[in-house]
Amino acid sequence: MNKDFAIRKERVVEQISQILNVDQEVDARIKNTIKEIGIEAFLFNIDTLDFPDEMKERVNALKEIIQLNDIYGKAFYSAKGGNMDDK
Amino acid sequence: MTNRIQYEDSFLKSINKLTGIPINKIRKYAKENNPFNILEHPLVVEPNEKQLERICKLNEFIASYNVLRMNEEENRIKFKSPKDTGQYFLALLGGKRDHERFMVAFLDNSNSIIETRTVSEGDIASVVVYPRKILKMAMANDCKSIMIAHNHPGGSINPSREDKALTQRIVDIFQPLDIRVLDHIIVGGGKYSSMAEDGYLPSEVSDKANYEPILLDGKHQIEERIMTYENDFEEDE
Repeated sequence: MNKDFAIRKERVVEQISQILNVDQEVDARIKNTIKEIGIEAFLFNIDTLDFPDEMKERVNALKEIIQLNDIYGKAFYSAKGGNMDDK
Repeated sequence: MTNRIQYEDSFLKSINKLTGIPINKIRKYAKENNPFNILEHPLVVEPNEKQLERICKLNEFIASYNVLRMNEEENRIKFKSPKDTGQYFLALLGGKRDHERFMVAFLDNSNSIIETRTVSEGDIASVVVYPRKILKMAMANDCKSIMIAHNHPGGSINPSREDKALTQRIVDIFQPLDIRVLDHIIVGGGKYSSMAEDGYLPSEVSDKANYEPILLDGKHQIEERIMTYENDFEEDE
């Protein structure tokens, strides 16, 4: 694994912990799990992982936002008449 | 269009969950406007300071995640030993104690993961595996080999007779297609076992490919455990 990638990964893990607003113990477990299986597998397999339900719900919300933003973000712009003011 | 409205609403609920901006406010804005605008121009929903901070964090995360995702493609997880595979599936299946789940990792020719998918989910002691479904996924991933894994909610990591038979059936299907089955990991009670490491992984085809669904039934294991427990209890008395 190259150094840049490791730093980026660390940053994303830090950000995800902040968004999920979890305690230190869960935070450490998130970091270990992502280290083990990667960020994408963590998001897409969250339901199988051993984490509190409330946290899983928040991860699923995050996953939803990423996926829908990927798929529909741009499409909506044209479908709804292009009201994104600076695009 | 209905699908899009459904997706839109689930997007709005997710924004509400992660930022705390009231759903009515978000819906009101999305009724007339592009809902995805909320991420790029959060002030349109008049968030308070805390909510604004959360949206900013969310945006930062999405940007970093998109970059990382591209890098993750180049830095794919590579299985070098049964221990790597075991640890990987332990992280994925270790938390599943309420029902059985069957997963497959599709690998390229350097044993790096192309994709990992949950193929089927069952109940507390059984799961039905559909070989056709696995085959379809393997073709879509254009993989060179696969690793299979499932959990035993009861905690045992010994492969049952059914586990061994299932592995043979999967080998019978994939080996003639030049797709190797590298391991079958069983996860239970915070541990794992590797059929490759324990010498249970079939190396040859034993029968012609059979695509009928396979039932992995672990009920007898539970019954055995109850019997053992009852016997121990009687002996203690």
